[in-house]
Amino acid sequence: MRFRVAIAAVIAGAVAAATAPAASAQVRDTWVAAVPVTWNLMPNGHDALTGMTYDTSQTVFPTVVYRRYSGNWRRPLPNAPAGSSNQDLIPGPLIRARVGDQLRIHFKNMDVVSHSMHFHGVHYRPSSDGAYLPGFSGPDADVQPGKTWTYLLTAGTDSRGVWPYHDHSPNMDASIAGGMYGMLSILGRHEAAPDREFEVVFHEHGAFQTIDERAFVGNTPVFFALPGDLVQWDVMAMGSEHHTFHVHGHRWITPDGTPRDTVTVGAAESFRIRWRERDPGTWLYHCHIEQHMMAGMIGIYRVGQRKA
Amino acid sequence: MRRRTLAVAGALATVVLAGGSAAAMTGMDDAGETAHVAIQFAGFDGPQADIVTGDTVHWTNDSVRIHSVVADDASFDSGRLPAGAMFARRFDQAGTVTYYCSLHPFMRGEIDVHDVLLDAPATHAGADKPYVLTGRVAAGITGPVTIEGDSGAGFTAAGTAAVQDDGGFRATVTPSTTTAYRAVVAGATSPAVQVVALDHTVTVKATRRGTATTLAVHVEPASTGQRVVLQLRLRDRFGWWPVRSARLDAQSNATITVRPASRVPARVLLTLPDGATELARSRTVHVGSPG
Repeated sequence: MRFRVAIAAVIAGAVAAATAPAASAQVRDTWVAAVPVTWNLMPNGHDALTGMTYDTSQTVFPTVVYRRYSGNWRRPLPNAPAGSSNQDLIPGPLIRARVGDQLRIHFKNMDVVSHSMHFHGVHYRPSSDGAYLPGFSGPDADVQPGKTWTYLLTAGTDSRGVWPYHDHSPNMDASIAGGMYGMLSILGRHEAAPDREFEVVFHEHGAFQTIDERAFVGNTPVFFALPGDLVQWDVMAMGSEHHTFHVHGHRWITPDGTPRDTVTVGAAESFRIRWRERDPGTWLYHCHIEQHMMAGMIGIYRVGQRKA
Repeated sequence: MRRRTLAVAGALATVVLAGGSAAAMTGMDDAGETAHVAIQFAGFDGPQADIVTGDTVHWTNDSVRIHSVVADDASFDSGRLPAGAMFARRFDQAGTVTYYCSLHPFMRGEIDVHDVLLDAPATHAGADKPYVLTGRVAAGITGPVTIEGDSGAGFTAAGTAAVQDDGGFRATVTPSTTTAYRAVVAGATSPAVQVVALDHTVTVKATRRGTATTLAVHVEPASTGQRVVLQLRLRDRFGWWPVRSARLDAQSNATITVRPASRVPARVLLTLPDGATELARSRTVHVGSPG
């Protein structure tokens, strides 16, 4: 059997990576709103691997999502760059920064019950924690319908990597279950940005197991890359399950030098994996807990051919 | 022994109501019927069920790990249910009872108990064609039942039905368009069910210019404000995939332009406001440039 560690890579930031030109620290503004929507976790209506079909009464539900907006919430924008997730509203906006940056997350609640934003991995004062605690927390943790709050965050030297954010208001139980979560992606001060960045959020949803709140191949994100691309997988789990992230036909090296093709991720844990792509083909990525995979936690990753 | 399907309004729900096998009904009162909720690895299937007062709910652990069924109001607690175990509870009072698994508290469910209930329609209706609705009332309610319909202008009377000895009733309605129906009897009102009437036609005309294809969409009868969805049949998506949606204008028209990377089959659906539930579809056309 051919064994070839194709790729130099990384988990959680131990990149032996090319460096990017030095960039000065920035203040980055992101405008986000909590927006009620109708979500279909299976737009093609079936599990292509088994042939099982599903009715929209089983797959369509009302929920609330984090949606990216232009300044002062004037007009909605895509949550993520092309190719990085399911190109839809779950997960919430991919918030990118570099170590040393200041982040101002301007949040508006357009729902009918209170919500908040709580961020992992970054530095902030209690007034930007966004976590509800009766008698202690402030309006940041319980943003009422129609109200706004600005969370002030700093990407510290220990913030490099990918991190979850999610609702932590009194309504977090239902809203996280419905997909109210997203990711921060923080590069080192001089670290090369990836050519492709893929968001994979494992999350149970009733009888289904989802990636980015979609179930079964074709519905879950279809990721694309080309040989030579520096690809970065941002992986996290939300909910109350653990999962194992596995990509076919690829391996990566852990900080201790071990080649891996599967990594476990627990609830609210997150990591990133990088490699320089060189293996064209259509590959599967999935949770390798087989019940989860068969309940929908599986997708495809396509690597094309560069034209000569 | 009757077999019926309960109306379930949850996102992921299919709850089968059975007259009950001998084993399933052991020790249970014969009055009322039985709803079954499967306990899956990480959720209740379905998480929300509508039943009639006096019905019994059976939860069966179909997963490989231990679960429980505990009411938020502490009115019942199944204890630990290993794989294959069952728990039953009869509900004798109208209202809502929420419950959870104490071992996996993110697993939550809800039982809505009604004095009158319409069965979920199993098929679509033809426009202006008779359609039979069925339902049940709680023991002791004698009727008659009034059926009310709402096709956009509020609920109005749409029919009546007599209650049979077993509590069941049948009413014939004639929807001219997709209509929500509810049953009213003895001061009680059922949740509404939606009867989808297949009364529309969708026509498309495709015009290609360079890499762009523009689809002129028209729906009859006029459906101003309703949503149409363009689907492409994509290999990556293993079937039909929604790529654009639009609302019909005052002339019941919409225009959608796409630039697919290759020539692919396309069709346009008229849907419910959810953008997913199909009411009518166009013929299949092709969009994009060959090669």
